[in-house]
Amino acid sequence: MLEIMINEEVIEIEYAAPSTMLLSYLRDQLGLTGSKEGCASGDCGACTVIMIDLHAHSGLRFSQINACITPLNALHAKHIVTVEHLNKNGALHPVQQLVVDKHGSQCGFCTPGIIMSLYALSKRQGNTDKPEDFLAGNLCRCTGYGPLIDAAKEIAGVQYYDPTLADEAAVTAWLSSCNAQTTHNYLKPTNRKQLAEARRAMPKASFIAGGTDLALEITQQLSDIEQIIDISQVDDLLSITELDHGWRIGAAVPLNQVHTFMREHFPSTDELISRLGSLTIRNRATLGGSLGHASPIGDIAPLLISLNGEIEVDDGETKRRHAPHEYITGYRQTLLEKQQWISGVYIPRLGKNQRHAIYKVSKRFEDDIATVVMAFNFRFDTQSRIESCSIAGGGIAAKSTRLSELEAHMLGKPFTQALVREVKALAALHIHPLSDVRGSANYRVSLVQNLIQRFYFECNNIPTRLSDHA
Amino acid sequence: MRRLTQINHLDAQPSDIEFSVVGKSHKHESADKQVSGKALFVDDYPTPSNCLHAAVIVSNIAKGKIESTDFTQVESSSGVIKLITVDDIPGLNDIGPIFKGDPLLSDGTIKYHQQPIALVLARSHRQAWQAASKAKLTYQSETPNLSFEQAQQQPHLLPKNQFGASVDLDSLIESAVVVKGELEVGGQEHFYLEGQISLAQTTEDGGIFIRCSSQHPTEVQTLVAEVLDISFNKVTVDMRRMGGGFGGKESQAAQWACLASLGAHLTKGSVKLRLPRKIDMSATGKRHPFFNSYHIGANKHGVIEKAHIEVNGLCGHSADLSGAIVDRAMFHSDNAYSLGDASIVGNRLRTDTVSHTAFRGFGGPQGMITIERAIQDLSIKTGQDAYSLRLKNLYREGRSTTPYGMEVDQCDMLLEVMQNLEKSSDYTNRRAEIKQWNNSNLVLKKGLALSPVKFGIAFTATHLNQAGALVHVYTDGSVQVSHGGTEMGQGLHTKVAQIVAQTFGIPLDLVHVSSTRTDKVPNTSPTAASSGTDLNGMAAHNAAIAIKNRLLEFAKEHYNLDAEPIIVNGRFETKDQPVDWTHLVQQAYLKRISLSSSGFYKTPKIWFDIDKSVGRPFFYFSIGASCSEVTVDTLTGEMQVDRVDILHDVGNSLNPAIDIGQIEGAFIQGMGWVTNEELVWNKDGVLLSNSPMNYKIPSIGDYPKQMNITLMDKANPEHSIYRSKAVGEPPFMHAISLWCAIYDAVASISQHREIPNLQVPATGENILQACLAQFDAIGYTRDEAEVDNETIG
Repeated sequence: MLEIMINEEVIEIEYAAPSTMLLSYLRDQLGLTGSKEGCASGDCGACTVIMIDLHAHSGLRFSQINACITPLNALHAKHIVTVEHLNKNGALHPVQQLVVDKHGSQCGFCTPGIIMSLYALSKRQGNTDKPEDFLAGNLCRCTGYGPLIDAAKEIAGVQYYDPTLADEAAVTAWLSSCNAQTTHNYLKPTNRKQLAEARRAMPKASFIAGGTDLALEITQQLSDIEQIIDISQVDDLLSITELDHGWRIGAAVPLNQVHTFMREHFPSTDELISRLGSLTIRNRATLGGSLGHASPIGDIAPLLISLNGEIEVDDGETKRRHAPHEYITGYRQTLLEKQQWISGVYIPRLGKNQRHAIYKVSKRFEDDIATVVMAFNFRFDTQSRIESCSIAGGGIAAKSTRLSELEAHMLGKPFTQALVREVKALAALHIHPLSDVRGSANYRVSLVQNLIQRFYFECNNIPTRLSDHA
Repeated sequence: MRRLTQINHLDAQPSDIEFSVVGKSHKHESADKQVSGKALFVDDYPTPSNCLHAAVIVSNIAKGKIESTDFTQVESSSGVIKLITVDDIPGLNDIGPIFKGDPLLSDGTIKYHQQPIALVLARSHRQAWQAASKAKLTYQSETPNLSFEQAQQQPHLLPKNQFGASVDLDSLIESAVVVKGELEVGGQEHFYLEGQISLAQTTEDGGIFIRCSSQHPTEVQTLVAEVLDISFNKVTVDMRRMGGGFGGKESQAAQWACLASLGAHLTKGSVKLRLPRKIDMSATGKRHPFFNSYHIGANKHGVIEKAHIEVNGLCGHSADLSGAIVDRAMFHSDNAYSLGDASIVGNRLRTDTVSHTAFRGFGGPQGMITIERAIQDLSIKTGQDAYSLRLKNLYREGRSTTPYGMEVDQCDMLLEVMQNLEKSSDYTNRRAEIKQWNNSNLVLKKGLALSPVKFGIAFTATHLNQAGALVHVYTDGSVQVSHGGTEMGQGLHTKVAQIVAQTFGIPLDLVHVSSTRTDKVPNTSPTAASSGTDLNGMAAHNAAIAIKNRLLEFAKEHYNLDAEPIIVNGRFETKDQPVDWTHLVQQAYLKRISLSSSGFYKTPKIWFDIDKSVGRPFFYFSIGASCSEVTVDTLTGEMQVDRVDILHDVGNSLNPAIDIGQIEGAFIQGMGWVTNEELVWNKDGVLLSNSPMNYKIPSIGDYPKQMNITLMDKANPEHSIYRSKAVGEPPFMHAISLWCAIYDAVASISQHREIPNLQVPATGENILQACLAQFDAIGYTRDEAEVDNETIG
């Protein structure tokens, strides 16, 4: 049994196949056709809806999500708000009226998704420095975005009467009173022990946290996944803990929360994480998911390598830690065994004499897969020599990797342009990337060389980044 | 009808009624429904009971023959009802819109990767596509021709044509400055947010009623009839709105409509066919890639005296609309410049890919960017600023005839637009600032460009420049309009409603534009070539005038007036008291005056002699200019748009908000085309950029940091509808100034001494290559520069 509040109605679903997505349920079963399918891969945002859950400290929490890649079974005890709900009384909701007044719709196909992302923005408490980030996951091919940026700026941080949530107390009461989920073929353990049991019960099941990658097997490859273990509620995977030398981040913490944490403690990672998918994706995606799939261009692996982080895997009995470049053994291959799951990530503190930077180059700035990611972590001794260094790259080999030949060449030497020149020449010998849809092998080699150069320039306070200049 | 409805809303708030309906920024007619999720697209209509869902089995090779087919696993797959192949088609299998050569289903020959081979009907969309993937096919595969070089060796799809007498290339050597080059211009995926979709139902007469996301309902109607071998009058197409079209649903919505209709016809039921995004991107045509060359001679002042330009469109496997698209590239190879003695040659090359098709601008952008690239090169060769070269070469008094013999009437306007924008964008000062900025920045380089757009308005196939409309006035005073144009977000229905309200002299809310239906207005042209409002607005205006004239004649007699009354704000004055519109309509009805009329319009003045390649293919030119500033990262090739200023001429704007929306949207779409939207095929003819995961249209973060759009707002000298000008396509080409600004930024590395090898799209990779070539050419390596031997602590 699955209980979901969709708009005003609590819906009890006896059984839904694990591969049923929210969007098809809304459109085909409930006739709520306001949410559209533009891509079925979480790239266009035409299906954006709001997921409301209850947060221990802040009360009702509004997240925009892609209905096309969110399994229905993941939404037990959540409140889903679709575009139809916003003007349930006939009058346009203030967010809807704003988009009308700005002439923000043309063909109108992306518009319901735009409205829901703006609605999520309007529910965000306090200041939002770049309100249009809420629309980074919504493609529009007609308007060119100008009116939508205006609308986002106008609604951000504004207090208004929201007719949709007239009965907030009732929603809160319902959210806090739901029974545990009991679904066949879709298990949702809440602690380590249950997770290990679930794994034993369904050894072939796929793990899902946010599902932003797994769901594509269902919607793009059209696979019918029979059994799923949802790890998004396992307490051991959900916290960020401060330790003596650093932090442990639970593998199922959504990336938007990871982002907030990292921005504070590792500001050099802010740009990278803000470009990881869109906000809509980051509301669901997790560190564990990214590492679990071991994509050769995943942004997280090079990030973790460069921060000297470790990946914790668990089987319910024993937790083991692996360095990420050892954990990832090949193209989409890892050390993870069938009974194991990724439970967390350890990141040590950066020292005062350490300089960290991570650069991503992709065709589009937002929500794009990297052509190349390069990360640097250098520690200098008192004579400004390189005491230790880590150079990590994504998109340049079958897996995210450390460029150990380059590192070895630099150790103990002063960081000079002459050294950079040598290392650039060395890089051309040691990396052998592929050509693909994102760029040629030659381009990737040039990028690796020039990002080493960029790191050197930045260490010398020479401006190099578009995002920094006015 | 027994009684007349009592109407009081006109009296309720008469002061709220607008004096003039046209020229105001009325909201899009569907805006309220769109923001509420109530605007229905084809996939949103409730399906008829027992509606089947279709999927296509597509080819896994790009060229060759099918050796064997095994559909047993398809047919035994869950939910499958029927499998349909080419042998099941009752009528024609060829659905070529103008020329033959577009098979609905493969007859055994494979012409492109993902070509439809068979149709699967199943209980659900998912079941149908799951089943389709289970087909077992073997092929005799051949190596596809994909590149320009390969295509040149093959017979062309259509004969080559030429404007102007051939220019002796040797004589160009005598010119003071000669510029010669080649430009690779990439294609573009439409990426309409709503993919191709059709829902077909059989009717009691053995006909078909079809909802289809199409820019050309009449063509869908005729092709469906031909495929099913039934008469046109048995097929009705209903098209309420598209979730974007951009040209991609002009000719290429028909295949899916015909397949859905075939399925419905053979099962005597209903069939919906909706393409998943990847199939949509792989199996439908795109903007044509072009390989163009230019050879231009100018005098020592930089005034162009001679030019030879060749445009080569890569058309894909069939002609589709490529004849006219390459024509339009040729028509715009001059953009706004007098080229002196010019010859312009167009070739239509066959490649083994999907058949490339219409896309906003219809070849115009590919032609126009070639001459703009040549001007940039000329600027480097002459050491003059590109803007001043552009001014010198604009069409002007004494140099106002195009290579195809048409006079440019608004030369003064061209100059005015350029000079006004030069002032409002502060071009000259910014040029100086940027020069300084570039000198003090090692890595980041800025570029600036201000360029014109002159775009011809009319279908170049003269017969398409006609339109029909049907206007009904009902006895409550409300008005329903049907016309042949389709709504794809561009605001056509809003503008037509404004035109009809303005023509009658009534408030806008009395006018409703219904869905586009082939049984209301027949034999229509596609909504394309920016002509939607020009043609259909005028047809609706003519229909309204016919009814209004009857009403006025009646009113004059009925109220015993000396002169014809003037209806304003839904009322007119009589000797005694004002009479409102509804009352007039009701009185006229009682006196048996017809309250309905069709309207027709054909564009005047246009003609073209194909044999001599001269004429007046366009009714008028749409004119504008734009100024773009960018910053380029010379280490990575990444680029950022800092500021864009656009001044654009829409004649009398019918609706400024909609016009500005068209300009802004077109610019950003054009920005995608010149920057990151890169189509990549592998050597087997497989499109690798086949999903939004690897084909990146602009997202909100790509929006320029500063954007200023201004309407010129001067009446069209030609008698267009309320003296407006078309707006759909022309502003797309303002993005060319953005491309030129990237060129300018890259060239600044060599202090504008070396011509950068920049192509279209200027992707990060292409920009970086061009930057590296600049550094090489000047023998300068940046890492030997300022920071050598510094260390950090």
